[in-house]
Amino acid sequence: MSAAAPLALAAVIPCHNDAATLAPLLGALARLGPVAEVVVIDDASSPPLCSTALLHDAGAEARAMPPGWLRILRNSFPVGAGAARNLGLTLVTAPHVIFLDADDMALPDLAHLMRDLAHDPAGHCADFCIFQHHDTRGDQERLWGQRPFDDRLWRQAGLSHGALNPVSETQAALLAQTANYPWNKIYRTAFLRDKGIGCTPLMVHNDVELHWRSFLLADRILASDRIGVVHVVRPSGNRLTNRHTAERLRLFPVLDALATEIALGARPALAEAFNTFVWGLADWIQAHLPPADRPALRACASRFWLDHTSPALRENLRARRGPLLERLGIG
Amino acid sequence: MSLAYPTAFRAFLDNPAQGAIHGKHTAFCKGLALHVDPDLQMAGNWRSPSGRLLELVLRPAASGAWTGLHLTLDLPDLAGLRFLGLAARAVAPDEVLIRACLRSGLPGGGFLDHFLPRHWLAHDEAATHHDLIHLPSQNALPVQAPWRELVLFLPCRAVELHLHDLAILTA
Repeated sequence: MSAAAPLALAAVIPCHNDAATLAPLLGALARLGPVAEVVVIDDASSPPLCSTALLHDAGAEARAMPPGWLRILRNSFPVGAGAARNLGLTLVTAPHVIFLDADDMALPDLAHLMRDLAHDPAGHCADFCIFQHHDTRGDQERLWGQRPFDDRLWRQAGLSHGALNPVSETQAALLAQTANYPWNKIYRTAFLRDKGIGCTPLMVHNDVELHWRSFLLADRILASDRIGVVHVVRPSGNRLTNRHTAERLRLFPVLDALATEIALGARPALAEAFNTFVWGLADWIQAHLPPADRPALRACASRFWLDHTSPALRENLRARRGPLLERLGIG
Repeated sequence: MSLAYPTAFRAFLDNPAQGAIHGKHTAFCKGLALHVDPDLQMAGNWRSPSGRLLELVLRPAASGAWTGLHLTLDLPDLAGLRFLGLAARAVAPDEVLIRACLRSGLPGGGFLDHFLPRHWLAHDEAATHHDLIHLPSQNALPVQAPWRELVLFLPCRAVELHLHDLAILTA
């Protein structure tokens, strides 16, 4: 039994008026151990984030971290989480990075996962490791873990058990269809930089590009059943997640570009997975849009259908997801 | 309640390790080993992830009579104890029925087994299992024994078992 040196992890956290939740997250990261640096992008919070106050509220472990452990950069006007994450990534010095939301909570299993990665030769060279999370929407039902939709995909992939498993191409096509979150993956920093992978600088859906290009361009992916992060979902309020306007239609050019890149890429299984994902996403966007914006959404969806959905896949989708396509006005 | 397993076992929980299953005896750490009937021609692999006990993948090539995970207990003297048992958390992609027993060595050689009363079914959801035996009511249980083990008997077939945690409880 050998005790491998721990892998150093950087946490990049965009924050807009979330100091109250950011402080306990910083405390949790300090207690974990492998988090060597934290880069917070203050996306024009009012009042501005103050590192001294944050560290004070984060607790003794965070205050005991070495100077420079917490760096805060401030945008003078809000640019959204995607652009903030991209900025944060440019500042990271640690070989591994995780993108967290300011109201997430890091769990001890994240540290265990880092130890597993350090010990396993595959862990050093994996481009990213996707792990499980707890979604607070399950709290009312007293369910611990992921939402049923994601859980089904993990099970279908045969990856719902095991602290660290390699992910095959077929399995990757299933895991890629889980919710496109940035904070359920530990990335090799150089992988993101070398491949030019980042978030889309949009206020909403910024993480779709990061998620899918990671699955497309990674040579080695690992998966862990560990629940490393609690993701807090607040169904109301003024968070970006709850912004349901025509702004969401700006995602479609991104989806077009991704569909083209994936179709030309080396992972054919991913193309169908991405197309299937788009229809689920379009349906979700439409369900939350004001009625006046829905025709524009349907027009975007129709264009995507014509440009990126093969005849074979159209038949498949009609058979499997007929009602969804009807809702989107696609016959 | 107190814990009764060796210090080495705690270190094993904390530090990742992995290896292959081979032959009739695979030692994972001091005090924790897999013993199998040689007729099984057992192969497979194991991993001890950080903070978890053991992920076992067992692939026998033939039939056999026993497969057991043996945990050495530092409990030569049971005098004054009324209960002994285990608390564990496990998951298995395909159901695995486990029987746990307290094995007591005999001074002249050989041993006696006292099975814990409950069957333990590890299944597709990580679940906690606990079980106790009432020591004063066990016939022929030697109060003093030169050695003792907890043995988890596993099915003699292909098995994948993820034993996340295991504690020995006494009262």
